[in-house]
Amino acid sequence: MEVGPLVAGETVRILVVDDFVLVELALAQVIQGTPHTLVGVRDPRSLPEALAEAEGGEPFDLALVDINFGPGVPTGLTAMRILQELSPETKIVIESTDEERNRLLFLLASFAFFEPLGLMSKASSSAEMRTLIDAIDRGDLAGPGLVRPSGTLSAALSPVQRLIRNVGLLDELIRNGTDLILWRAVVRFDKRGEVARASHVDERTVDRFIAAKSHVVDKIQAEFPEDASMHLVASPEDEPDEQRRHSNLVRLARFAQTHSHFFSDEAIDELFAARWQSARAGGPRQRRTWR
Amino acid sequence: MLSDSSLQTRIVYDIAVRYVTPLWRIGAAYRAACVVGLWLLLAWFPAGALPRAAAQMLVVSAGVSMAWIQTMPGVLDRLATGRFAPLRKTAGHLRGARSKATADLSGLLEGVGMIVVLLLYGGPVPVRPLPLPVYVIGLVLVTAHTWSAQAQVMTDASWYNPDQPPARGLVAFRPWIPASVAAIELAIILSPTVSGLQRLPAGLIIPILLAGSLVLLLPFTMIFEVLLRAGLQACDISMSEVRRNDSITVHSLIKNGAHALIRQVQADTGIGEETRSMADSMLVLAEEARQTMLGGGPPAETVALLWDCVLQTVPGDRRAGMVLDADSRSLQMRKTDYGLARRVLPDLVTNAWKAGAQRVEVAVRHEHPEPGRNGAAPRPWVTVSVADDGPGMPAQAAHAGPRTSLRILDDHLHRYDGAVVAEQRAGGGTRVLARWKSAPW
Repeated sequence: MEVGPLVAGETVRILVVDDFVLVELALAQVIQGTPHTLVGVRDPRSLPEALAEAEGGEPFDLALVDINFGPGVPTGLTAMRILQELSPETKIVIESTDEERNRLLFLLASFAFFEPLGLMSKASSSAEMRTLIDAIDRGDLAGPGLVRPSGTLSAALSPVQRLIRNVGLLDELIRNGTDLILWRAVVRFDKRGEVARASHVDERTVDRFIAAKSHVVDKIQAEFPEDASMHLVASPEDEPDEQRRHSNLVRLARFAQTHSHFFSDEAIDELFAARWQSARAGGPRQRRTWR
Repeated sequence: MLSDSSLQTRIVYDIAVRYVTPLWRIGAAYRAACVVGLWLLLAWFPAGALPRAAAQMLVVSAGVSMAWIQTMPGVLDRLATGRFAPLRKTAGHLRGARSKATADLSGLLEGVGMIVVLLLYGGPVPVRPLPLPVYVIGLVLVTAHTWSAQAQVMTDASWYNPDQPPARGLVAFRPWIPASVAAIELAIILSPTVSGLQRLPAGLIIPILLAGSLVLLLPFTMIFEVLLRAGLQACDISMSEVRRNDSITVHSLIKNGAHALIRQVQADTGIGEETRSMADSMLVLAEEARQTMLGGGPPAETVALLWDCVLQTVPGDRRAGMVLDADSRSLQMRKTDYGLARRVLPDLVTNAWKAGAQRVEVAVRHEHPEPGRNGAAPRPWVTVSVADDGPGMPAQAAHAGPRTSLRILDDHLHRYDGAVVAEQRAGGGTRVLARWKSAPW
């Protein structure tokens, strides 16, 4: 699917999905004096209602979607899934605070399952927010925080490009339902037998999981070294097998605990299930390629 | 009683999974020792009964061996990858069944096998004659084995699994397991007497005591669950302590930082009202974060919570004069309305006390308009009223200058068809009314 530009200078109908009303009020100030309109939704579960009641029945042009809505509330992945289903025309920009240590897997999942145009930091200045909205208004995806079209790359990859390039790591991290169950068990247990018991699998499955996922965590650590949650020291190669397995399990447990909010998000069950089903049916991967 | 769903929690299950592994190992070793003892007793059996006795011992021996192997993942792994297909299948079954609320092969073999062994000592055709000590020790070993196996059944982690709770039928049967097992053992031991074939060599008291002791598995399990409950409560108390400590950290780090910021902002005359308001709101947010931590989750977004947080922006010696009317306290707000009230209320209260008011009366209401012609109920209005006994302000204060705090609030509320209106009170002072249409989401 190709992203068509909004007609420059036309009204951009913006939807802010963020539990913090001040984000909406700040953005309202940013677009003051422009023809753009803004509606705020505090909870992803309210999205169907908000989309149905959208002024004039017209879809929103742009949705700024937060990732974290607090404990007990669905995450931005649910918000994006609802938007994708009910308002596929709406272009998505993820907004997030840079300090959120557990956001990496959410961001990878966002780019793996959906088609966000970019990533906007909540620390962005009013001018930066305005620039981003203007860029989307023009259909220009080369701005800061946006997906840059291929062929115009500078030497260093932008954070968004790095996320897109590495969405495959998420598939390696969670290859099937058993992986998901094991990750959830590893959040709470760091002993092989306990992990096996809690996830109803045998120890050899846990061993294979430890070996495979340690490798993936290493890759994530190498790709996103700035992520503070990733500073997990790999066990030395010369360690005895059993000891190394235990060290790696403890390491995975720390990783899982950092990202426990992601692993416990019910949205990922549905998203991955649909992805695996599509893969089994030989269908295309959900993520599109950008031009 | 057992099967209490309050124990099907994440913490209890996590505790259970942690104790099950070592207890299984200890239990398997203990039962293996019982079976070895039973084998040794065969030395005192009549020679003619030995082939039969050895054959009857085989089933339970196989069961105990499997249970022991189950506690050794390395051995199980080797068997599962071995050349012999039946062993591979058995090992696969033992690995898969270990953590589920189901009967696995080792459990079945141990259970049935021990009944078969018991038939050497009692039942319709027991081995006779047996020396009295052999008879008694045999029954003791059978009972000891059964105690261990059933204790494991009664306290298995799967009873407490909140994600995959055990079947209702199993839960209902659980309290009856000890009595059922005791009844089976008693029936077998006493059947020679009942059938009149021969007298029990040790009278009735020893077998009855031994078999009857199995009924004690029920109070044993109940005591076990009392311990689990105690562990759960200890966890809750520890969690509360951690939350309290964290809330102190929030207070010390964030609130002190916010106070410093507010002092700085107040001293800087070039800073706008919106920035001052944002700085003040840091205290409200910090208090909300503190309350969230203390409560272990997001608190209900009531006016009472908001008011407690807003009071944090008022100097301690002025708080006594700040009053929220009783009817407002329990009012629960939608998230957007709560966010708007959180933006509006601290500003209005701060304006009042800074203007010299000694008493500030606050009320928050939902006003429901009449249904429209089509019968649909329109969205209610939210009103926040702040009345004070201060020197008063002009009625047009909300529209005085573009960057005054009331004007900024007025702008914000316009997004929700709302406005801020200030009016003089009859007896002196000011009443500021912020009003907006309740957000539908």
